[in-house]
Amino acid sequence: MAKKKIPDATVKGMDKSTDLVLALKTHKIDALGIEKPSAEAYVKNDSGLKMIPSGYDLNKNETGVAIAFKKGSNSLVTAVNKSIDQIQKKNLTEQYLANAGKYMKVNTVNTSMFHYWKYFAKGVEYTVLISIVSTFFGVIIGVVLALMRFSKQKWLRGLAISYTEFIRGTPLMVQVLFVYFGIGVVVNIPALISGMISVSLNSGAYVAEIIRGGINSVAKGQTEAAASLGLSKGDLMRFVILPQAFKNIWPALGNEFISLIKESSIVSIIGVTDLIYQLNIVRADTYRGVMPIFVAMLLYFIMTFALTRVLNHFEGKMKHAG
Amino acid sequence: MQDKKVLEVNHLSKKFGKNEILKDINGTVKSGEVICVIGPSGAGKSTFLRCLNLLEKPTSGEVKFDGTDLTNVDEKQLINLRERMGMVFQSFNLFPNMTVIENLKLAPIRVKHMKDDEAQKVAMHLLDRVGLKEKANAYPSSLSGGQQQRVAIARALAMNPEVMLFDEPTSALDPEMVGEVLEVMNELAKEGMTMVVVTHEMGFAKEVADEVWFMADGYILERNKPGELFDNPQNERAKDFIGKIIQNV
Repeated sequence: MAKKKIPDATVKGMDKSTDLVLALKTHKIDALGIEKPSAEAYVKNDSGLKMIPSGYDLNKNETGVAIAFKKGSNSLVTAVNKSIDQIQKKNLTEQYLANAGKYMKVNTVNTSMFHYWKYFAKGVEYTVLISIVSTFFGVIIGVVLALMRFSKQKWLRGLAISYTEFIRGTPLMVQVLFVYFGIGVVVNIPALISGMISVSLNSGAYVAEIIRGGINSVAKGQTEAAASLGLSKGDLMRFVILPQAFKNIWPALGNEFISLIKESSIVSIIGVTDLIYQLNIVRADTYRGVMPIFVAMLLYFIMTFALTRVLNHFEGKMKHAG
Repeated sequence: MQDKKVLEVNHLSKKFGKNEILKDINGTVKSGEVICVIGPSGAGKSTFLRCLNLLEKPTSGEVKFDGTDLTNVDEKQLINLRERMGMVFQSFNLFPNMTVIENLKLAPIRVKHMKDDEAQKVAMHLLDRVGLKEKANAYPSSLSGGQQQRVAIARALAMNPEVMLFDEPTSALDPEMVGEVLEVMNELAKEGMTMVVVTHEMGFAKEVADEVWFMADGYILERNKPGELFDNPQNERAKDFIGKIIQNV
C-alpha cells in the first residue's frame, strides 16, 4: 500500500510491530506505517516517536478488522457482536485505547539486563533442556541408523540412507514447522515436545553419519586380523572396531552436541520459550535492541564453552588409554 | 603324521573384476612342512595366501583345510576353521586399543573360552618365547616394528593353530629388525609348525623351507627343494628372478 502511495519508498516488512518500532528508533528505517491505535499507543509511551497521520483515503475493504472464530461457534459470534455493538454505543474505544497503551507500556526505567535475569534463566533452562533431551534421543536414533547402514538387508540400508539424506538436505526450520503443524493435525502436541522431536530427528541423522564415518575409519587390517583369529562379528565390533572407532567418533560427536545447542534456537519460531524467544521478549519490553542479543550471545557461549571443556576432558582421558 | 595333508588347493582361481590374479593354482601342504612362496611383486603371492584362510574369497576352485573345503562352508563353520589357522600380516595389525598381553588373550578367551588366568599363562609363555615378556603391559604403538611383529606371531600362536600363514612378515620392517623376526620364525619351523610363508627373504627360504614355490603371473611356475630351485632353476622366469636377486645380494 505504501508502495502505491509513496513512489520512491522501499518497503521492508517484519514480523512484529515491536521489531518495526525498534528498527525505526535505530534508524534502520525512516518511517513506519502502522494502524492508528497501535501508533497512538507507541507514541504515548515514547517521546522519541511522533505520529503523522497518513491521510490515506482507504476504503472499507482495505482497513477492515476481522475476528476469526472456529467454524460453527455461532453463539460466540453472537456474543462478540453484541459486545461490539455496546462498545460502539457507549463510545468506549477511547478508554480502551488508553488502557491498551498502559499494557503496552514498555519498561524504560530499569532496563538493566540483570533486572531480566529471570527471563534469561528461563531461556537457558529451556535451551539446555531441549539440548539434553535431543542429544540423548539423537544418539539413540543415530546408533540405530548407523546399525541399519551396516545391515545385510538392502531395504534397511536404503531406508537409513534415504532418511539421512532427506534430513541433511532440508532446513531444520522447515522440519520444526513440519513436526509442529504436521503432527499437530493428528495429535495435538505441545510446542516444546515438537521442538524436541524435530531436533532429535535432525540430530540423529548427523550422529549416524558420524558413527558410520568413525567405524569406516578403522583400518581394514584390524578386521582381517580379528577374522584370522576366529573372532565372531560381534566380538570384532565390541572389542576391536568400536573402541577404536569411538576415539574418532567422540570429537566429532562433541561438535555435533555443540552445534545442537546453537541450532536448537530455531524452536523459538513455534513459540518454545528458549533463549532466543526470551531474548526477543526482553527486547520488546525494554526497547533495547542490542544488549539482550549480546547477553544471549554470552550465555550461548558459556554453555558451549563449558561443554567443550567437559568433552576435551574425556577426550584427553581416552588418548591416555591408548 | 608327517604325510597328513593340512592344506590342499585344487584349481584355485581369483579374479578382481576382469583382472585374473590367480589362475588354476594347485598345491598341497603337509603337516610339519614349511613352504616358502617367492616371486616378483604382482605375481599373486599374497592373494594366494589370503585365499588359504578365505580372507579373499576364491572365484573358483577348492581350498581344503584338514579335509574340509573352506569355499563350501557357512560363515560359522568358516570362523571355527579359521581359529585353527594363524596368520601374520605385513603390517602387523595388532589391536592398538589393547596392551600386548590383551592382544594375546582376546581370542583365546573369546573364541576358545579359556579362563583368564589360563590365557594369561599361555600369553606370558609365548611372550617369553618371542623375547618380549617385559612388554606385556605396553601398548603396540610404543613398540618397534620388529617387536610388534613378534607380538603378532605370539598372538597367532596363542590360538594354538595347526598351520601358520605369513604374508611378507618382514617387508614393512627396518632392515635391522628383520633378523629378530626371522629368528622367531626359524624357531617355530624347527619345532615342527606347518608354515606357508610369502617372503622376499631368500636366505630364510633357503635355510628353512622344505619346498619353495615360485609364482609369477598368477601361476605357480616351479616348485622344488630350495637348494635345487635356487641353484638350478628350470623355469625361465624363475631363472631370471633368482638371477636378479642373487646379483643384488
